[in-house]
Amino acid sequence: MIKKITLSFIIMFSFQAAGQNIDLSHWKITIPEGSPSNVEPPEILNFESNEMLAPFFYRDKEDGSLVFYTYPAESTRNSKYSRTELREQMVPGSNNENWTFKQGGVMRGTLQVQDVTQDEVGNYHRVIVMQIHGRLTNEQRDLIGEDDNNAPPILKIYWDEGRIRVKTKVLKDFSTDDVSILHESAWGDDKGRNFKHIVGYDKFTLEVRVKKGEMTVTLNDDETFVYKDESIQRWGVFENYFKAGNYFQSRDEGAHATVKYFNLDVSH
Amino acid sequence: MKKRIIFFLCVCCFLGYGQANDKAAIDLWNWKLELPSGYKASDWKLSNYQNDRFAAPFFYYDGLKGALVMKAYPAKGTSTAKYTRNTLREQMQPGSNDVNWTMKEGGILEVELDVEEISNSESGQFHRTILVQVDGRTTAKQTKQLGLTKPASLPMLKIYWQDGYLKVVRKVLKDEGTAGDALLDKKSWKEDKGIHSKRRIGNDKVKIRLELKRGKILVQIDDERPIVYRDLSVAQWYFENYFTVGNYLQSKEENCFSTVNYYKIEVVH
Repeated sequence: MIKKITLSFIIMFSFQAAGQNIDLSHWKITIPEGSPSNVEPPEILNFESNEMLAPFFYRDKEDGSLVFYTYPAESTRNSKYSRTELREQMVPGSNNENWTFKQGGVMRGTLQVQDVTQDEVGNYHRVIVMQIHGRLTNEQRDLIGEDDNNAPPILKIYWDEGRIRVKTKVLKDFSTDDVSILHESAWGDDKGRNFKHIVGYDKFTLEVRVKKGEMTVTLNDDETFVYKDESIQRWGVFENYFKAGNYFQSRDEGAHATVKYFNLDVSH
Repeated sequence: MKKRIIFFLCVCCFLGYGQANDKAAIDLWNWKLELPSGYKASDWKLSNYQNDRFAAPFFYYDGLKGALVMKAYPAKGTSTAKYTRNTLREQMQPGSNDVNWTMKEGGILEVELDVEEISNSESGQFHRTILVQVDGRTTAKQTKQLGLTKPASLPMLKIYWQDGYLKVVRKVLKDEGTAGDALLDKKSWKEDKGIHSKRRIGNDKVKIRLELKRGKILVQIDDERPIVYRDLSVAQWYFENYFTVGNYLQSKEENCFSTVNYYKIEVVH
């Protein structure tokens, strides 16, 4: 009996430790309300006492995970969809410090898609759980006459009817010069790839590794997709940042999704 | 004491019934379901069909019958099918349509079913429904070779329930002299006249066994004499294949319906 109690304490403690291990000091959270609202470091560190965040971004007291809940409401400038999503900030509180593929980076997370609604015929709404987003430097922005720093996402990892689906960008025309390549219109979507292992509503681990001219995505330390074609090499022109959470791909009324993160680490 | 025994028996019955209800004998892990509403499900999602309110009107396990019930009737939704589709598509790799088998690799399909009910058309004849198909599509290599953006597909063999009989229809070459890339052109193929089952099946249970291997197709309906195809049209079938099983009602008329119960669906490669 005592052994059992001890064991459950150990399990509880390790679950707690898992979720509480997530260091938010380099992340900004966006929620689907406000205009929409963001909370950056250092305020994000007190997310548990932030009433505005509470419905969307909170700690599950039983398993210690960070819960990302979202539904179709407000969206950010370059999107029609809503999100409860973390955006990496290499320098806490600043969006201006980002990284290139040459500098590289690793993002690793253990997560679980816990609950997703179905559309009118019963097909599940899709959720993006991780991304690498491109960003124009101020000089690049001015060079091509854009009014913001937005660039396309080079990586989107979807939960799609219980499967993990990876989408990247391909350069439409390899003869595009180094300036034209900065335009969003120079890039198209690849066909996408699904991992063989099907996660459903179970917990899983994703690892994204980036280095010069190469990006890899690994599911459960087992199955890896490698991207190192010419498109990835040419992507080296952009700065990037990681994103993680729940970027919900529907505007259906009554739709919603819940994603839990048990661990989330980034290194450069 | 007597009361206790009765209570015990009731509990046993209840548990037994519950188990019978929960345990569908048919393994669906390698199938993708598509319903008349446009609902699609495979692997993880399909494994939860018994709790999915979107699947339930068309697709459920009936513990008393011991059958997977597949109902077809027109429904609003996103289906792009020509008629009213309620089918399971074989997926050798769960969740993927891109892994299929060739005649060289072969395959065996065994099903047991009955057509419980089917509507009449305006002309007074029964509607017909496709129960089983062997579908073909160009392999990745052939798709590329032909310069297509996506695989071309054409069914190799269909088994209809038609006016109470089973009818087996298959593709044959229009010209047996066809060779090369032309063999991969849909236009080189046509449907044959078809062969009917000897027995009028009606609403009775029937077993169908399909065996395909290296230039030979064998169709066994109950214990009738097997239908065997072994000719140039089979030998020259270089597409990759997958099985489709279900109740693909060949009508979109407003009040059409059909119900097919499946007692067994098994595939071996």
